[in-house]
This record gives sequence, structure tokens and C-alpha cells, in this order.
Amino acid sequence: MTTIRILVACCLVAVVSACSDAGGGEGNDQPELAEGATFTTSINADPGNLHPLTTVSAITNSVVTFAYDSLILVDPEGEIRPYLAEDWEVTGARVTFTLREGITCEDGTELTADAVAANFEWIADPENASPRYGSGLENYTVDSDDVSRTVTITLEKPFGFLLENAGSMLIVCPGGLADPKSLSQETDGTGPFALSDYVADDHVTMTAREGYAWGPDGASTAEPGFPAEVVIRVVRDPSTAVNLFLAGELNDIGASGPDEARLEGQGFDVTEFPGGPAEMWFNQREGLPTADPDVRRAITMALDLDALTPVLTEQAGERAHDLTTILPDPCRTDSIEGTLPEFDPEGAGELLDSAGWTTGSDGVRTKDGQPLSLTASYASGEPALDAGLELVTQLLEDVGVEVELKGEGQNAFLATLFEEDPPWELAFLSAAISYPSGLVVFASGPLPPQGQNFAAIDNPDYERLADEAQGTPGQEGCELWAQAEGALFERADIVPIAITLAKIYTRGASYDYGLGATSIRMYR
Amino acid sequence: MAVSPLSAFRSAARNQTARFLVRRLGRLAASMLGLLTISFAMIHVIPGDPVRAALGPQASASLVEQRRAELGLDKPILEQYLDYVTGIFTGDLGTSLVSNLPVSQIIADRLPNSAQLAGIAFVVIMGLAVPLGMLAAVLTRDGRGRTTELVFQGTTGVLAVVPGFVLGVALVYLFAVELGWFPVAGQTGPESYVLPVAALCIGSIAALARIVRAETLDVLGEDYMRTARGKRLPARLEYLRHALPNMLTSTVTIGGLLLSGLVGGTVLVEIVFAWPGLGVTAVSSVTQQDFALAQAIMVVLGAAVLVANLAVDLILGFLDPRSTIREQ
Amino acid sequence: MATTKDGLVSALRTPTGAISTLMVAALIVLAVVAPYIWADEAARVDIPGLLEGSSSDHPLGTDNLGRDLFARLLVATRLSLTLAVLAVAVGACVGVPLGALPTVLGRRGGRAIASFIDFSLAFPSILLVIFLGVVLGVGAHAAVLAIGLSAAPSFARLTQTLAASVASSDYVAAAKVLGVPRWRILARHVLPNVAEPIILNVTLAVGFALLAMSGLSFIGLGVQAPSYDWGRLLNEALGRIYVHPETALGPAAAVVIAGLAFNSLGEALAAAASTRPAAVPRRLLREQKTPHPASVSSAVGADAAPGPALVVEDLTVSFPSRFGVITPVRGISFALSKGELLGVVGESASGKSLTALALAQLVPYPGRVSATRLEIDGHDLRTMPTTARKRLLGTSLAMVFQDPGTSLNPALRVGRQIAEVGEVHGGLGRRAAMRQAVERLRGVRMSSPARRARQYPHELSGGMRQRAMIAMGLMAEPKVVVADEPTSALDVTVQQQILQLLRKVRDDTGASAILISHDIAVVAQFCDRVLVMYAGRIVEDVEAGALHTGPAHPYTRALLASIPDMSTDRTQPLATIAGRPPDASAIPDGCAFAPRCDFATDRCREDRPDLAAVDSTWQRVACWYPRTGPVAAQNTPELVGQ
Repeated sequence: MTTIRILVACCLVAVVSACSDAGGGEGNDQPELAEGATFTTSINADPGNLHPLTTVSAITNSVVTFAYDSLILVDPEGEIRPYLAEDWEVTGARVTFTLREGITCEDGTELTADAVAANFEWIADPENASPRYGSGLENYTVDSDDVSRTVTITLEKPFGFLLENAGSMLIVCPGGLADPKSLSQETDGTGPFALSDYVADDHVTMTAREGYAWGPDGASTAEPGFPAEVVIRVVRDPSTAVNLFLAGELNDIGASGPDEARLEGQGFDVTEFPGGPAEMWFNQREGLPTADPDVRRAITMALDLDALTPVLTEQAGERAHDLTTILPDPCRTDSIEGTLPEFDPEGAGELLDSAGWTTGSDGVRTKDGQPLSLTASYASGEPALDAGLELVTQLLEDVGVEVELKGEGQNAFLATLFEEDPPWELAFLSAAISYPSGLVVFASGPLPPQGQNFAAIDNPDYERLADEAQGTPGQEGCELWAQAEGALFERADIVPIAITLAKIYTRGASYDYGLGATSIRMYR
Repeated sequence: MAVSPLSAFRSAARNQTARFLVRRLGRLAASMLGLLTISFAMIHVIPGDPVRAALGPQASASLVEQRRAELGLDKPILEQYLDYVTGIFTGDLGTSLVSNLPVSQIIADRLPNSAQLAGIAFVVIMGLAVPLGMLAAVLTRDGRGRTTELVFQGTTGVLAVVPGFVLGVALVYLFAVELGWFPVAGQTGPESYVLPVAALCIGSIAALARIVRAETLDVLGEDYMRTARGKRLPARLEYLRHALPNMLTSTVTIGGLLLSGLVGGTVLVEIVFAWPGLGVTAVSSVTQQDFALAQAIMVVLGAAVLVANLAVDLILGFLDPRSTIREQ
Repeated sequence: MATTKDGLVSALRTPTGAISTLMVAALIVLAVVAPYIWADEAARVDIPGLLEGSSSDHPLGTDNLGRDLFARLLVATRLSLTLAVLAVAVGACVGVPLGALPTVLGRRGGRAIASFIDFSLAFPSILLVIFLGVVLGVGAHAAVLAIGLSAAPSFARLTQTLAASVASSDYVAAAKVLGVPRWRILARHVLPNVAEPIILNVTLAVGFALLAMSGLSFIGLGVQAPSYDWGRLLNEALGRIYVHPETALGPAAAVVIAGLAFNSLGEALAAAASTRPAAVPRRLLREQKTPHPASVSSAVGADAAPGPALVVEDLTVSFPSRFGVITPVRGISFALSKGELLGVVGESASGKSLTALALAQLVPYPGRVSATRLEIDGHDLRTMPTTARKRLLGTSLAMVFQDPGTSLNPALRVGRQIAEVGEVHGGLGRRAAMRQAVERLRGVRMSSPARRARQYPHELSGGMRQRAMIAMGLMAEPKVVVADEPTSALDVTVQQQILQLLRKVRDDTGASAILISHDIAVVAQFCDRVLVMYAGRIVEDVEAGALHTGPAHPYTRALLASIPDMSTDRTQPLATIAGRPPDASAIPDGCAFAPRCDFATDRCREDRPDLAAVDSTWQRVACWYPRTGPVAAQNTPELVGQ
């Protein structure tokens, strides 16, 4: 089975690299590899505390993945590649990983199965307050055997993405695990690089580790063209980062929208990445107009999502077809087909009429003396989102719904979202969820502050289907998840709108982002 | 024992200085306490739940609770205040909500970088604006040099009004991206200071030069300058020995205000130039309601302002022979 | 100081004033009118054409919904200006009362408020603004409050300073003594007087408020969708600035132009209200011709004592002004012998002070001095090379000004100011010059001269300061001492001492002195000879002794007659000379005194008499009908009347 997997993986690698080459401009025709070079990249905020198991920041994650490995790698196509684990076995509520031999930590000691298991025990300890614990990976026991080099995790409840989730967790070496404070500014992992310099708000330097040979599919740092160093610079302003890239001081840059124009047609390699979908959520607490599914459907029907898409994505995106679009995105489905109400302003008007909302003289609908006046909450500051919401306001006004925009800073918005008695009826956000199971806590269950169901969604169909899907791994599970999402769309509990396709440009190097840092090659 | 009037006068003056200093330091301490309290109150007044915001929507409710308890945010407000104040004295400024690092470390890492930028900018601004303003005044005194006046007022008027961040972006575009003379961003050696300092300085030099010119014109119109002219002193003496000392009071006062204005200026410049300083962190700590960090930064900056005020007062007190060191 | 109306008008006359007023007016018009004209255009959504650069249809490009940015820029004028004005209004409404409080509260409270204002003024305003923006939520209301509150401290400081200077004035002290309650003093006396400068500052503040709003939007805390101001437009454009710079250029230019307009207007108004001289029209500067040399009597020359200290012939001082060329000093001629004490007397605006300044070549720009002869100690000032002339003026001529309090540099020690004359012109080293300075101070009868030399002017009394001025003049052994009203600012006993001192100087060094005064009694008492000036000319040149026996000019006689003495009849009103001297810009033809002269005829009014010798005594007078005989006492028919 392993051999077949590897074969399949290789073919997929070929497909993927062919795809990414085709996606870009005129790529370099295999220029000369450079030895001992430095790969420079950028992040747009300070990574802060670098402990991989307590951080919630995607930025920090992008930094620490250079220094830590996980048991398996989920590639961009959703396939599982061997990494620290050379083999694995999944049965519903249990997964067993077999560790490769010869893995060493930064201090030279070999990584044992016990050491790996200790990581899972660590995150289970509430004192450590690790966000890795939960969302399916919870209530388990861990066993390990150094002789057979196996680590077994047994859950109480089956969890469809157990392999992907547990296997993607970064593994910390025993020294760092025992002293969490030391990991805030240093690393102690098994990864291809080790942190050698960290200047706050300025840069992080990682140095390649000799002898590393247990990357995904056995990738090693001894490959020709492998960088000797990786420098991650902190550059807050995206345009400044583009400036740096154009000046040759960065090897890669992620750009979307207007900045793309500066990078197009200059011969840089391009890889496309989908972002999280922009979505509209409704406050369904009792007594609010949006608690009525017909009102929600009508509002959805009033919005021309095809027109909103170029506005929200600055002409660099497409319609979202489901709610989970971030890679690895194991389930790529079209859940809106046949479930999400389609654009039909007249139909929206009729639906609102039948729900008792009649149009007044000023054009705004009323029912029992209450005007249909909704507050739309969102994180302001992005011109595209501001513009999209202005368009939403206009479209809804056309069917007699009055909208008041309430934009706030990112943090204030999140705080508003999770208030116990929120002041909004509509919320626009982008939830970056990579597994459909990650949606469950938001689309069902207790409301804040006890839980995370901030929109007070109560959809029994969704809960039933999600429950079933939780225990079903693989593509079967994906089918069930698609149906579960469809249940949400039918009642217009959540409306997915558009996803932005971000592009990453590279120069002087090649980096297969889906395969991790071991894929970096430097050119002259 | 006979005491000469002179030495009596001297020792009285010393006592006056000592009393002045003690009184001022006392006022400084009182202001610091006021500042601590105000910044604490202000940050806690902001509506919303920053813990949830910092941990993101993905974090479980129990994790949010846990972090809240960890940071002591579930304690009654008075207890939090007392913890905070005692913490200041022990040097424990708390932990940052967002980055989970000790606040004192965050500030210690970044403050020198901002201070460097602000310090260099301050020296450049004072060093250029004062001579420029004085020169402009000398050339345009009594209504002379109408063209010079027009050019000066026009140029400084426009430069003083251009928004700083626009200027910064324009500088980067022209000198770093197009011409490639200077680095685009980051703190990477002496040449990387040029553009950020320039972005900080240009507007302030223009504004300050105008003020210096106005002040110098006032001084030049005074009777004692006529006396100096009557003595037919060389120009150097006339302007540097007679005019300049009378300008110092207002110049020092303006310098004090300029220094705190630079703190604001660095925020925008740091964003454009990816400078690892405190300015950007200050803004984000407030918008993210990172309590410990925001409070600490307010206290640090406020303390700097208070100390600068004190220094300005002391300098003014010694510079201006007319002010007695006793309070008026 | 000009009244507000004059100030406004004169402000509008300067080029910067006129341009900035026009610009502000244009902005206001645009703010009112633009939404009516361009609102539809600014709201037209065109999704296929979004995020485009400039084109013929859209000069500044399109935004995220394809709307025309130029139209949006124009329509945004209203909100941008309104918010800036509102913010300044908030700042003024909070700051002015706060700054006025210390005058009402008394020492303790006042000082606490003053420290608070100091601190809030110095606290980085951007943090305050961001902080307030976060507390109050984002959006226009919060931004206005935030910027307004952060502007309040500067208004408070301004009000506090102005109010303090008004509150320390005499009439407020009188009000306090009379028991007027503090708040009424504030309302009635303080606030009306501080209103004007505050209004000027409001104009300036609007400019800065515009800038601040745009900065706030840059951080995302300013105006929110769907409203838009220049700041929000700028924020949106900055993300595209490298690709479509014109989208950012528009709003940036708008902010700069508007800010500049308000700032310039505020400064023009402030300059007009201040006491600095208004700029002279260039045309007049060019046109200023050298006045014709009047025909000069042969008063000077052979008649003068051998080796005169000072020879002046046809000295004229003219100024170009808004009203044309004014000539306050018209053709003065006289000679000063060595060791002579010459008095110059006249009413204000007679040109006597300017004459003194003209001798010392200290007439302020743009005044011009001309003369057919101007010689000090035999050296012709007009033909000397610059360095030599500077040296001559710095050494041979000593000026003593009227107000010693303002004529000495307050920032330098007295000794330094005196010694530097010796360093610069006498070639002395520092120590030697200082020693000489102390010597001079001793020479002018200054007590403890060595100690005084190390003190600052404010530590000396008025009389001591004047002595120091004289000592300064004596450093280089002057040939002529010109004292312009040296005692007017001093009390009577000190007056006598200073005048005695001047005489002593003459006795010790042989220097001549010119004593200028409005007080003929003083001049008659101390001087050897007296010049009487009227309307820029010398009308009489007579020995002091002859003043008692027979001044010839009716004006001189009237001056003498108006001096009250111990025998004056106190039941009668004090005698004055009816009428007023003519304004320098409107000097009539003929004798300038004719309108006020009891003996004037038509000839006097048409034909101006030159200064000519009278009889055989050494006396000159400019009158067709010179009088004779001693001056009548007070209360004679000659003089009564208004």
C-alpha cells in the first residue's frame, strides 16, 4: 500500500508542478542552481511568541514550519505524504503512526515515539491552553512504543479528519516541551532549519540543518540548490513588500489586487492560492427579523453574488462553491448547487411580502410597525470590502431593506461578533477553515460566551448530517459534509460569496508551497 | 562671622535651585501616577472583548476563559489596577495579550529603534530649521526681499502641509524603487536611515523654519537690535550674539513640542518603511486592546513627555536670566 | 494696532492674503455646490470598469465600484471641510474655556490646570487621536471628537497665555481691587480681548485639522463607508499608488491645497493684525526719487566755529508708503561745534527723532537719507568707503536712545554689551575691553561698576541702565553724543542726574552733544544752543540764552509760553497751542505753522519762508514776520483759546 501511495504521490507531484508552471508566466528554463544561498521571504506582522503549540497566529505558523515537522503532510490535492511517520493506519476513532528512524532534534538526540506522544499529552493538558486541542482532536488517550516506534491516539468519538488533523500537528522536541518559555524566542524541533537569529519586528533567520533527510517523501537538506539560510523579514505594508521584491531583496511575494499589476508580465514564476471565502452570516436570535428563514432567503436572493465577486476580490477571484477553501481543502465540493437561493430580486420581494413585510411610502418594508432596518457588521479598512458592502446596501435597498453599515477595526469586529447580545443582524467575514469539521462549532452548539456559535444557528439537518460525517473518513465523509453544508445554504444560514485567488510570485528561487520548506531551490 | 553678600546670594541661589528641582520632581511623580491611572482607565473603558479577538474565532470558549484568567482579566477592576501599579515598580509590566511575550521585552526590543529615528530626525530638524528660519528672517527683515519671502513662504507652506505618509511613499517610489539609491525598507545599516529620516523631517523643517523666521523677525524689530546695529558690529556678532540668545526661549519651547510631535510622525513612517520600532506597536496595541502592552506604552511615552517637559523647563530656567528659579 | 476691519482689508491687499482668500472662498463654494452637480456621477456604479487608472472618461480613474474618482473628489469637499471645521469648533469650545479657567480659579487651581494643559499639549496627539477613535468607535463622529479634543490643548494654551497677559494689566487689577467677581472679569475684560487672536488661530487650525483627518483615515479610523472624505479617498488610493498614482494624487493635492489655503489665510490675517510694518508696494520702492535739494542758506560754512564736530546740510529722510512718498525730515541744515551742547526741540512728528537716526545712519528700511553735506569730525559720510564709514559711525558717534529698558539686550550681561565696542572697534582683547568697560561705568558714576558689569539689564534700575548706555557710547571716545529723549522714561530726579552726566562728559572729553526733547524747558536749561523743529524743518536756530530774551518764531514763543511755572495762575486752564501739527503725508504749501499761527498772513500760507539769519545776532529763523521781545507769561491773550 505504501508503494502505491508513493507512486500516486509522485504522479500528483508531477501534475502539481506542471499546473503551477502553467499558471505562471514564462518561467526560467532551468537556470543554474546556487549552493549555500539565502532564501528571503516576508511576513506582514511580528510573529511574537514562537511556541508552535500555543500560537493562534497564521503568521507565526508560517515561521515555525521551517523548524518543526509533523507526522504526515497533506499535499495540495489532499493526498497524505509520509513525513516524520513512514507509515500510518486509521480506523475510525484510532490512528497509529509508525515513526521513521534516524530523526534527530536540534541538539542531536534522536526523536523517539515517546517524545512524539508527549506532544499529544502536552496539548491535552488544560494548563498549557493549547488551541491545537479541540475541534475533533479531543478526549483521547495516547500510547507509544519506542521499540516498534509507534504512536497511537485513541479517541472517544470518531473524527473523520483524525489522520489529517493529528498528523499535521508540529512536533516539539523533549527539551522545548519541558521548558515552554524557552520556545518563545527559540526553536527546538526536528525541522530542516533551526532558528539562529530573531530580531523583534524586523526579521527571523533560520539556518539549514545538516544531515536532515526526513522531509515529506524523504526530502533532505542535502539536495542541490538547497538554501543554507532562510531569512523572514517583517514588512507590514504590502506595497513596501512588493517594492522589496521588485528591488530583488525578497525571493517571493504574495500579492492580490492592484499590486498584481506591478508583478505581471515580468517573468516571475506564479503560484495561485485560494483564500478563505467572504461570507454573509445572519444573527438568528429570537425576535430579530433575520431569525426568519424566509427573510434570510429573500436577502440572499436580492444579492447579485456574481456582481459582488469582482468587487470583493478586486477582479482577482471567483465565486465560492463551499465554505472550506483553504488548502489542503480535502473536500472540494460544490455545495451551493441546488441549495443556495439564486439571484432573483423580484422573487425576493414576493418572499418578503408573504413573510409580512410590506413596503412603506419611503421604500422601506415594515411589519407590525417595525422597519426592516438591519445593521451590517464587518472589519473595515479594506477598500474592496467597503466597496462590496456599499453595493450590498444598494442591492438590498432595491428590495426595501434598509442597511446601516457598521465597520470596525479587526479586533473590535471580532469582539462585536462574539458579544452575548450582538448589535448586528448581518455580519460579513472570511472564515479560514480548512476542514469542514472546523465549521461545526460555529454553525451549531452553544452561543458565546459558552461556545462559538456567534450567529445562533439552529439547523437540525446540519447537525444530524455533520454528526454522521464526523465519523466517516475519506471521500465518503466529504459527500456527507457537502450535504451538511447544503442544509445550511437551503436555510440561508450562511451565504458563501467569493474567494480571492492570491498569487505568489517567486524570483531567484523555486518553492513548492504545498510541499513545505524542503522544496526550496535557489538559482543564480 | 561676616558673610559676604555675594556668597550669601550664591548659597541662596543654590537653595533656590535645589528647591526648584525638588518641587519639579515631586510634580513629575504626581503626574506619573496620574498618567498611570488615566491610561489604565482609558484602556479598560474600551468596549469589547479583546481576549476573544486576540485568540481568534477558532479558539474554544474554554481557552478564551483560560487566557482571560491567566491575564488576570477576570479579577475585579480595582484589584487589576493595584496589580498593575505594583507591577510597574517591580518592573513586571505584564504579558502581551496578542503575542504572548513579556511586555517589557517587547518595549525594550523596539523602543531604541524608534528613539534612534526620532532622535536623528530631531537633531536634523533643529539643525536645519533654525538656521534656515533665521537666514530667511535676515533676508526679509523690514519688508525687504519680497521675492525671497514669497519663495520661502510658498515652499515651506506647501511642504508643511503635505501629509507625512504621502511624502514617505513618494520618497520611496522615487529614490528607492525607481532610482535605487537607498534601500526600500527595513533597518539595514546607515543608508537605510536616510529616507525614513527625510520623510520625518521635511514637513517639520518647513513648519519650524516658518516659526523661527517669525520669531526672528520679532526679535530683529526690537530696540536692542537697533542698538547693536548702531554699534556697527559685524553681522556675525549682531545675529549670533545679540539676536540668537533672545530666540532661544521660544526655540527651546518649540523643540520640546517637536519632540513629542515626532512620536506621532514615526508611527506612519514606520509603517511605510517597515521600521522595527515602537510606533506601529503603539497603534496596534490600542486597536487590539492589548491591555498590558497599551498601558505600558502609554506610560513609557507619557513619561518621556514629562521628562522632556522637565528638561525644557530646566533649560529655559537657566537660559533666561530674567526668570528667577523660584516659581512665579 | 489696526482695528479688525483695517486688518482684514490690509490682509486682502497682500498677494498671499488675496490669493488665500480667493482659494478659501472657492473651496467653500465648491463644498456647497459640488454635491448638486456631481453627486450622481460620483455614485454611478460600473463594475466592469472598476479599479481603472486615468482615462479620457475618468481623469483620476475609478474606484472599487467603478465610480468616477474626480467626481467623488469634488463631492467630498463638503464633508472634508465640514468635518475639519467641526473638529476645530470642538477644540475651541473645549480649549478656550479650559485655558480661561486659570484666571478665574486663582493660584492653586490655576497652576494645576496649567500643568495639565502643558502635559496634554506635549502628549503625542496621534496616540490620543487613535485612542479616542478606538474608545468612541470608528467613523466621522468619533474622528471629529478625537481630533477636536486633541486640538483643544493648543487652544487652551493660547487662551491661557493671552488671558494671563490681559489679567495682569492695570485695568483688570483695578477691577479686582474694586471687588468685581472673577467670572465677570473673565467675561467682560478677558474674553473680548483674546477673541481676535483666537479667531486667527481657528483659521490656521482648520488647515491642520484637514491633515489630521486624512492621517486618521490612513490608519482606518476616519470616515467610514458609505460616506467618503478626502482622507478616505486617499486611503483607498494608497494601496494602488504604485500602479495608478493619479488616484492618490487627486486627494493628496486636495488636502494640500485646502490646508495651504487656510494656513495662508490665517497667517495673512495674523500678520495684518500684528504691529509689524505692512509691506511697501514695490512700485513705490522703485519710484522713490531723491528729493530736490532745497535752496540752502549760507547758514553753514564760514559762520560755524572752526573744526565743527558735525556738519549737516540739507538732510532729508523720505519713506515710500501706501500713500506715496512721505518726507518726515525736509532739508535740515545745521552745524555742531566741538564741545557744543545742542538741543533739538519739537512736538511729536516734527521729525526730530528721525533726524537723530539719520545722523547715525540707523533709519529703518525702506527709508532713504539724503544730504548735500553730512560730515562727522570733518569726514564726509557720503563718500567714505563702507568699512571706514562703519568704523567712524561705531566710534565717533554715540547714540543714547529713549527707553534704556528696551535698548539694552536682555540676554547679555551689561559689561559684555559695553565691552564689545572696544573689542570690535578698539582692537582690544577680551580682558582689556572689559576693564575699559568697567572704567567707563565708573566714569558715568555707576555704583559698584565691576559688579554691575556682570549683571543683566533687568537687574539695573532705569537710571543705571541709561548710564550704562552712555558708558557704551563712551567706549570709543565719540566726538558727538546724540541723546534722543534720554530722560523721558525716567523720573525727575534721575533726569537731572543724567543731564548733569551729559554735561560732565562734554567737560571731560570735549565731545559735543545733541539733546533731543519735546520739553523745551529742559533743553533751554541745559543746552548751549537750541534748534526748534516743526513739520520736518528747522524753524528756529537760537542760543539758549536768547530764548529768554527773544525767540523769533511764533511757534517757539508759543512753546515757551506754555511752560507752567510756580507763578502761573492756577485758576486759569493750562495754555496750549491750538490745533495740531500737520500729518507727514499732508504738509501744506507755504509755512507749515500758518494754520496755527496767530500772526499768519496770506503770504505765509502761500510762500514758505527759508531759514535765514535775524539781525546781527547769531540766530536763524524761518518766518516772514519774526517776533521780538521776551515771551509773554502764561494766560495772555496771545495764547488763550482752544
